[in-house]
Parts: sequence; C-alpha cells; structure tokens
Amino acid sequence: MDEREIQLRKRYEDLKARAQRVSDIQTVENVFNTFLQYYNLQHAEGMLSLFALDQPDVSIEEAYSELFEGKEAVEAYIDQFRRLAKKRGVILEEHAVCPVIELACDGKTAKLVCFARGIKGVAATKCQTYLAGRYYADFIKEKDGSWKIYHLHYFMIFDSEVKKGFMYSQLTDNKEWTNDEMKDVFTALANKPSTYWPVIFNPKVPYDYVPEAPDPYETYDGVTALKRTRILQHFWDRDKY
Amino acid sequence: MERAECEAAERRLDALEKKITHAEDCIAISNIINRYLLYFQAADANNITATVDWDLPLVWSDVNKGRLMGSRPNLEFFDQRPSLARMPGALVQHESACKVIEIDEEGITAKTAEMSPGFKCLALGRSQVWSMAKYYHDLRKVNGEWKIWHWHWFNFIEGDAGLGWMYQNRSYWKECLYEELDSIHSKNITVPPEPSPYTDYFRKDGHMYPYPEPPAPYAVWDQSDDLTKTRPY
Repeated sequence: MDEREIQLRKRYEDLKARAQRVSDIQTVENVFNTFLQYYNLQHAEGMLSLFALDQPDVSIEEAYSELFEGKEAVEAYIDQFRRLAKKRGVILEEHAVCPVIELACDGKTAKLVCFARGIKGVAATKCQTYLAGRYYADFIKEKDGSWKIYHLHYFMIFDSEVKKGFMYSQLTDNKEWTNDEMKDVFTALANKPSTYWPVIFNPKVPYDYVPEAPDPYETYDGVTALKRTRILQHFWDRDKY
Repeated sequence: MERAECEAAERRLDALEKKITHAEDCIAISNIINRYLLYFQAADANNITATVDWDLPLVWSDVNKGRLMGSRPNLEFFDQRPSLARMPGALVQHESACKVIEIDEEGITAKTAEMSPGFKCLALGRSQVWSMAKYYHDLRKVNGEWKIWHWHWFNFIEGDAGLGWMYQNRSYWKECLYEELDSIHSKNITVPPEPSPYTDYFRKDGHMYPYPEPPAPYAVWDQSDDLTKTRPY
C-alpha cells in the first residue's frame, strides 16, 4: 500500500468515527424521546425495554419516588404503570425540551439534561395540573451497539393546578394517588433513599436549579446530576470590553 | 491504487466529510442554544455568557426592550442575573422548539429560528405568566466551536397564568411598578440601547407579524434575517 492509499484509508476511518458519533447522539435523543412516549402511553414493557437492566446500578428516581436501583427495583417501579394503565381518567405527559447531550470521548456513554414540560390529569381525585421540571439521564452503549438508559432522574419544579397557576399552587403530598381508587397503583418501595428530595418552586424563597447542562467528558465518571458550577457573581474582563 | 482511483476516492471522501460536518454543526448549534437556555433559567451568568463569543464583531441582542449593541452592554445586562437568582420566587424559562438551522456554504456562520414557549414567575411583583415567543440567532464558528453572535427574542404573549393571554398580556407593565424587578433589565447598563426596530405583541384589536421567518438557505452571511418578511399579504 502506498503512502497516499494509507492516508485515504486513515481519512476514511476518521470520517467513520465522526459519523458514528453523530449517529450515537441522535440515537440517544431518540431513545429518550421513545421513553417519554412510552411513559405517556403507560407502556411498561416499552419503558423497560429501554433500560440497561444488565447494569447492576441501573436506576430510576422520579421526584418523590426515592431511588430504585438495580434490575428488580427498576422493574418494580415501572410495573406500577401497568396498574396505572388500568385506571380510568388518567393522563400523564412529559416532553423533553432543549436537550443538551454530551457523548463521552470514548463513545461508550452519554449524558443528557433537558427541560421537561407536561400535564397530569387524575379524574378520580379531580387533579389537573401543569408540570415543569428537568430530566437528567446517563446512557450506556450495550455490546450489541444499542443505547440504553443507565440512570434516570426527574427533578420536579412545579406541579400546579391549572386554574391557580404555579405561584399559588403546588401539589406536594401525592394526594392524587392516595384515595381509594388510586391507592393500589404506586405501591413499589424504593430500595435506596432519595439522592435529591424535590425542591419545589416556592414563591417565598430563591429557587435551586439542578441538574446543570452536562460538560463534555472523556469517560464515564459517575452520576453528575447534582454537580454545581453556578456562581452568584458575574466575572468578565471589564477592561477589555 | 491507481492515481485515478485515488482521486475518485478523495472526491467521495470530500463529499462525505461535507455531509458529516454539516450534521456535526447542526448538533453543536442545537447544543449551544439549548445550553444557553438551561443556564438562562438558572440565572447562571458565567455559564450564560460562555455561550457567546464576545470578540466577534458587533455582538448584539434584542429582547423587545431596546437593542443592546456591542459586547459591553450585553455583558452588563447579564450582571443582573445573580440578583435574580437570589430573588425569592423568581422563575424564568424560555424554551427552544422547532429549530430551523441554516448554515452557510463554508460552514462559518449559521442562522436559526425557533419557537419559544415558556413561563415566568416574579413573586415580588405578584406576576405569574405563560409566555409565547420566538427566537432568532446568528452564530459563528470560531476555532472549531460554535458560539452565539446575535440573538433576538420576539415575545408576543406574557399572559397571566390564571387569566390567559386574551385578558391580560404584557406582564412587563406589572414589573415596571417594582424597582427591584424593573432594574433586572436595565440596571448598570452603561451603553444605552438603540431603539428596537420592531416591537409588537398579541392584541385583540390588531395584527402582529410573528417574526422571525424560518431562515432561507444562504451562501455567505451578509445580514441578520430576524426581520426578513416574505409573506406578501
């Protein structure tokens, strides 16, 4: 092989690697959106199919749920949606907005943070609310090349009655799930304490924003949902500008 | 490989690289705009301003309250964010949905138009609103990295969350009654803004044009298309 052919082959391999990264980022976003679509459908099998259940520390934590870690715990958490799906007058919708996705330089994992907006309706308890929050998710590439959700954490900002608005109303007691008709739905018990008990928007105090957008990273370095870089002072070169 | 074969392979790789670069650029542009908005919600001044290249020629922004021309007044504008972050009951979210991204032929500049629903709560002013707006961005690639260059937020609705936009729009009027809230937008800005070339909002008794239009493909950047209007009627 002459030098020019070697260069061409190297260039081709570089381009292939770059194309793979583009494909991986799009796939990660697609997996996450698929999860949210299944969530809206209360489709337990669909949701479970997206989790990396072979990872011993696969996990899910949603607002007040506390932490469900490991295959059995995640299955137990998701299994609750089979029961929810059988209830009448229930709608749950969360959609992802402004996703920031960082694929590790080694291409084996990815991190995603986004806004989450949605609605909730539970007829049995006359609950109709607007939802706002943020999602944090780690993804891992399986041996077969598919991407799966590794850790998922939903951070709630508000869960507010439609007619009152977020300044005057916050549902913080899960009452909509505790009446006679609904109390057999969310019965799974977490196996670990919450990593971050929800800090609900409160008009009387400053709000605490987590998770932050993920930074670019080399290789998986653990869950970084609670990493904080915000400094409440603005630094810039006042002489230069 | 024969010389002709090598040349043909190079041409194919050139074409392939162009497509891959375009896909990478679209992802990077989405990433930087989304990143800005996540930091914006958190009133995180340093991370917000890291998404803009302040050395670019004539950075400007327009958020319906005058056009801030140059880096200094824009950096001064974000000086107010930490006080917003410390304010009880302050919550501001602008989103970016339905992004239309156009990148020039050389891959150096980009234009975007986006839908931007959101919400705002400024409890000190008893203000809670749903908002509906649109964003226009110009971006530039500097040293391989995309940065925001110009941004224009067209805000058509800030309607009371309890009443709806048909009955109460433009919450800023309410905020103006409170010095602490009003100053969020203007305090310490030493370079006065130029008048916005366009301000309008949803009214029951009038027409408004919901700028921006989706940007058209272009070869070389020569102007911002935030106020391009092609609708002929």
